[in-house]
Amino acid sequence: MPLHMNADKARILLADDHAILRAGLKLLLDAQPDMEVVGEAPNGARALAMIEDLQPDLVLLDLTMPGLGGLDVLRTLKDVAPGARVLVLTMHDDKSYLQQALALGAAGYVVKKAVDSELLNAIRAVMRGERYVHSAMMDKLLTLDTAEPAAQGASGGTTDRWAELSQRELDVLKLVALGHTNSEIAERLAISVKTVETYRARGMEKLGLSTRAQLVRDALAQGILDDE
Amino acid sequence: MTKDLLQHPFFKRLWSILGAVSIRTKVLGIVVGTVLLLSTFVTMQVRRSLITLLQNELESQALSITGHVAESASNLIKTGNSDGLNFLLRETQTHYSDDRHNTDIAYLLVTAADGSVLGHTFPDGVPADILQANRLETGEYQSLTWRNVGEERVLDVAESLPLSGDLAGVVRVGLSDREIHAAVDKVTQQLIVTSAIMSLASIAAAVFLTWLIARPIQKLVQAAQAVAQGDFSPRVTPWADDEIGRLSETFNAMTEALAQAAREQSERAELRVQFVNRVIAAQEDERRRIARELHDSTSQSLTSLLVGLRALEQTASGEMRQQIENLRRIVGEALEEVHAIAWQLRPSALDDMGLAAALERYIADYRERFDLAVDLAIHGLRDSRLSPEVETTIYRIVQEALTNVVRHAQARQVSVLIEHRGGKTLVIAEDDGIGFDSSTAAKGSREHLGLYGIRERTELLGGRFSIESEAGRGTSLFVEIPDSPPSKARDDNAPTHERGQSTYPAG
Repeated sequence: MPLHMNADKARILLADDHAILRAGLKLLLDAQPDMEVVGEAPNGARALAMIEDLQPDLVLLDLTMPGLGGLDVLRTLKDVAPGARVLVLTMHDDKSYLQQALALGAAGYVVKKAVDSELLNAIRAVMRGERYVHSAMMDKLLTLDTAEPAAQGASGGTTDRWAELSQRELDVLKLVALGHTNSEIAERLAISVKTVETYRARGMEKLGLSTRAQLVRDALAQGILDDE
Repeated sequence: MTKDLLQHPFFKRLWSILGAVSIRTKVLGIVVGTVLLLSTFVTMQVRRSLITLLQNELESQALSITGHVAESASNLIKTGNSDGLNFLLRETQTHYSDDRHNTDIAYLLVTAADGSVLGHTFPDGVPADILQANRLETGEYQSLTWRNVGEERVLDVAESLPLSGDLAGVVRVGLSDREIHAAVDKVTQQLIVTSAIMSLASIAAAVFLTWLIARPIQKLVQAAQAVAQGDFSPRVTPWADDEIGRLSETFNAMTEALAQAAREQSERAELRVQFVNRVIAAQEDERRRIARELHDSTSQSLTSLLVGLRALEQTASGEMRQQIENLRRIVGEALEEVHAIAWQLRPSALDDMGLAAALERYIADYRERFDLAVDLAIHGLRDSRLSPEVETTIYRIVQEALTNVVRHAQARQVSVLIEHRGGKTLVIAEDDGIGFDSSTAAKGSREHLGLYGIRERTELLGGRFSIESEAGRGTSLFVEIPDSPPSKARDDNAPTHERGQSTYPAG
């Protein structure tokens, strides 16, 4: 029976530089009927060595560790043991860390502040072969991803609109997109700052854009600045 | 009074013309003018004195000739020797015209008491007007008068010549002033030649003098111009211990003092840059340290607490379970707060993931917090990282700019553009808010202290800062920062910015 149970249990390696946290996690995980902590690594290098030795079913990996960090471990594992299942457990609730971890082959991502409510679910999901991303992080990922295209607004299909611009408006908008101040543009084109503002406002209206950031994005997308 | 007169517009205008010519011209003008004036004056004076002198001499000579002729003639008249008289007169005329006497006797004439001519030197007879002129009054012995004859003036002397009884003839001598004029003209000519030579000499002297004065002044002017343009190296060699020599020495001393002051000022500026640099670096390092401490130590402890509570919860039941769940919630909130504080102090993503990631996160939070439409566009930074200093600076600048927008701008829309191109990064933050008068901005007023900080940070990295704003037309902030700062402004002793998680301290 114990043997059978042992075989059913997920063999987990803890990689985290905080001994107290590791102890707590071990306590929590060992208390689960389907989990068993088989090793603890205080840093990335040790983790890699233990992964090779112990062949755990799952690695609970902290990203921030002295020496070799979690992302470095993921990067190495990708080459050494592509099949290893890694669940990232980290303080970082940034989209960029999440994206990078997932890109490097992490099977799941749990933020430490949700360790009490989500960790066990996450481990079980990953053990089932699913990917798991902490729900709050997922929201963030989605809102961030939708925020930018939304801001881009009219950028699709403005080719015709660029063609509608007068030469002066085009000149002014190009210089605006290249990051010149209004007074620089005025000097460059030998017109007044007021006139620059007028051309700029009119041009932006024709393009259906409202900010410089949008203009630059759009100009780059349309290849307007290619000859500059 | 003199002052008032010199203030008169006429003099001012005159001086604006005369004063504008070079010293050489002024000196030459004064010298030549004076020499010419003096020569003219002397020449005129000499001519007048000479003429007076020669005329007086001519008069006394005329009298002596008259006396001599009268004496010699009286016997000839008495004997009626008319030929002898004529001979005497011609002889006298010839005698005085030789080189020794050099006296031009125009005519000699002897008349009898009744006015009839007894003898004369006129080749064609005596002109009537001469007989009428210079008549002696009765009882008069002598009479002198100047007569104009043709172009010359003739001194006519009449002297009564006692003849027999109370009858008296008259001897008349006419002396031409031609010789006087010839002599005076000659002297004048000599004076003019002398004046011309003197003028030339004084012009040469003036040229030399002005060269003497103007040359060191010219050098001083050149040196002063160089100094005015910030080059403190030129020194003027004083070549005489006079006023200009002393001016040169004073100038040299002044330039030395200026150079010293400039050195000190640039040292102070350098020190200030280093100091500000250190303050900023120290502030960043301190923030990073505290953020990491919170992140690595406090947060981990709280996480451990969460995990422990969760483990406890599983073994507990009933009310205890409820209590533990409450505790878990409190610890979870604390963890979140600590994490937020650490992030606000300094996002670890800035070190680990780079500027773009950190800014995206910051702006996402900002959008949510202030419900403002922020459009962030980052170009040219997706695959490359900037130096930690530049990344931190740009992050702080954007933070400051957006904080300003919330505080002052009342904007509805904000655009943040970051473009890395050609070895430098352009940061443009624009809003459509109320704007302000940009001519008063960035001068350190309390309200624009943030802008001042942005400028300071930008300049520390050798970047350019400008702001365009107008009341009611929003604000645009432009910052351009080169990838590698000018080496001279850097401070090697400043705490270095670390990057990457490999440098995280154990804990």
